[in-house]
Amino acid sequence: MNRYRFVLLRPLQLVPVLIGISLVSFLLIHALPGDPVRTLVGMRAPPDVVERIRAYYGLDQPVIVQYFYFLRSLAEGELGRSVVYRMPVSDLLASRAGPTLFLLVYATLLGIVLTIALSVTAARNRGRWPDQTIRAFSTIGLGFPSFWIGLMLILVFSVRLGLFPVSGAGQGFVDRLHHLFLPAFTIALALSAVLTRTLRASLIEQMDADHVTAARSRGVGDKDVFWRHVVPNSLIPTINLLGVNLGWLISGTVVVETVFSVPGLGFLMTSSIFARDYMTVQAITLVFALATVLITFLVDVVTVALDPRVRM
Amino acid sequence: MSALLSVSDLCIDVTGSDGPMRAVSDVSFDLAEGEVMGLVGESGSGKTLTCRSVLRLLPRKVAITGGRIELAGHRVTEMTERQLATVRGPVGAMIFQNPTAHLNPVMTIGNQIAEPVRIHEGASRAEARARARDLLVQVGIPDPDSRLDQYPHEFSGGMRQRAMIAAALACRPRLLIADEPTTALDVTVQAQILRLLLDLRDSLGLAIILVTHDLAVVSQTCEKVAVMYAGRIVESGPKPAVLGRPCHPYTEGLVASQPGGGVPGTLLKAIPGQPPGLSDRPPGCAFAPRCPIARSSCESAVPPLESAGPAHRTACPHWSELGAAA
Repeated sequence: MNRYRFVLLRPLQLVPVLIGISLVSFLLIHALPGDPVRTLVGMRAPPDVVERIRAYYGLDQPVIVQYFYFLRSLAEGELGRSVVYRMPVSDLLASRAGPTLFLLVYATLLGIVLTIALSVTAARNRGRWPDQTIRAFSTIGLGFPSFWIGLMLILVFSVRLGLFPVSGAGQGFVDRLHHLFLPAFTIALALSAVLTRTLRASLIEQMDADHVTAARSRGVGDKDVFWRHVVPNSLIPTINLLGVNLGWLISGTVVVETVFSVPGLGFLMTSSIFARDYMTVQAITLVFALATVLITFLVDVVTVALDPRVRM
Repeated sequence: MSALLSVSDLCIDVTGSDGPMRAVSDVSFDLAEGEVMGLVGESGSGKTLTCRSVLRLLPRKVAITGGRIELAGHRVTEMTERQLATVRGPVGAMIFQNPTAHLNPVMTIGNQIAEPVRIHEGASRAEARARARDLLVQVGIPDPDSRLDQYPHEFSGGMRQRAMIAAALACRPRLLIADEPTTALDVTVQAQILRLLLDLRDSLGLAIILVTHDLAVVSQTCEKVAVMYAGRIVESGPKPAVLGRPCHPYTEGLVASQPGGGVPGTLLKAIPGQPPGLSDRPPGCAFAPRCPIARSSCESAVPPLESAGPAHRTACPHWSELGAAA
């Protein structure tokens, strides 16, 4: 089974990627104007207090030294202290990661279900009205920004109809499903708009493929041909695209969590940027980058499992 | 002797951007149990559409618009898609020109062969797998146990064609339609595949329609031949008669253009001109513009098939002039 040898080797290739990401995020936040110590103690604090606070957080050191402090503590699993929340960043992230992870998985599953339902309906009714409608949906869906769709969903389903809460993440599994439905649906709509176009096209291409005619020539019925021959072959390009889009989706949670006030990492990211909370922003950037890299890796595994021709 | 397959007055239309066009006209032929028939013609002559219509495997926008096809008592032309699925496999099966494109790239060879067995015979996974293994042996694939779990890309071209034959034969059909089965293969492998088909005919009593543009293949394998030109059968009959004493100027041209008969060092003979496209077929004999013995009467009406010998039929009213001229 050396098809799967890359499962062991690929993570090694990711180390330089992660170092690069930490460096870039570190430098970017330092290039921004504004002083975190002033944010913390206010403009009228005496200079010696400002200096002491600055020294306490290591902010009086040269930037390059600060970066190595950052890397060293990272190696110890220590992400630094948040100047705003006055607690270790790792504890802060741990308390916020739940809703974001839940939202991502929820949105991805909804998106996949939506994509498959729409693509299959469109492909099986090629050229007729269901197909035209679904194609129009995916074109329109690509054009609308998710914050606008999110606001409209809140307006209709939360404010007018009162079906879903306006904000928050809920307690417990069922409550969370209820609270996060609209945010997850917002992300799923954007995701399925992209994926439906590809999956519909692959399904249609595969329905006319020679190997499908050959399967029919052996008496394989419509349903079996579709689910056993057409679908597996069509999923391969779509899963690759899903991998690319999930990376983008993680950054999409920043917008959606802000719109729906979900107390997750994305929401924390925006508030930390405004507060110049360096350590928190860096840590979230790293977590998001790590998640993106991890998802890309998982998609590679799924692709190899689905397509015997691929060798990594 | 009653025919296994009987095709009568088959017409096929292709719908293009400016409406339907007749691609195959009034094609009739019979095939007996265990008989091998060659269906010969150039690209676009309608031979592939004709053979695919036997199992109603026509592409989108192509439809049978007239005639009847009867296969082992089943009226193929009147069946629903669901009924057709019960005929495809156990009664008639098909193999194709390009085995690479016609095998599912993400399904193991074993599963592709076993799939029809499970569908048609309700066999268990293990039974179907055992049948698939036997079939691989039967079509001459060595080391069948490990080959079952391999994917098409792990097979060579010739082995893929053997695997496709195994899948087609999985439910023991009585008719095998072979659409240019050797065209995409190396010359040495071509001969092996043809040998295999003939062996299978002998051991299973399989009737075969062999679609090809290669007269050499026909002369090695078939008992009878039908020659198609521009959507019609222009000559049909027993192989020795049709290839040995062609009674249609198109067949004569094909035979003359084969290498082997001529003097070494001389150019092969070619038929001048091109066959007409779907949209510009002439009202009379479609071959008349390229025909050495054509006269004005040939261009007014399509000549009917007439007898030129025992079971030998030609669409040329002037066939008696052939041979004499050569």
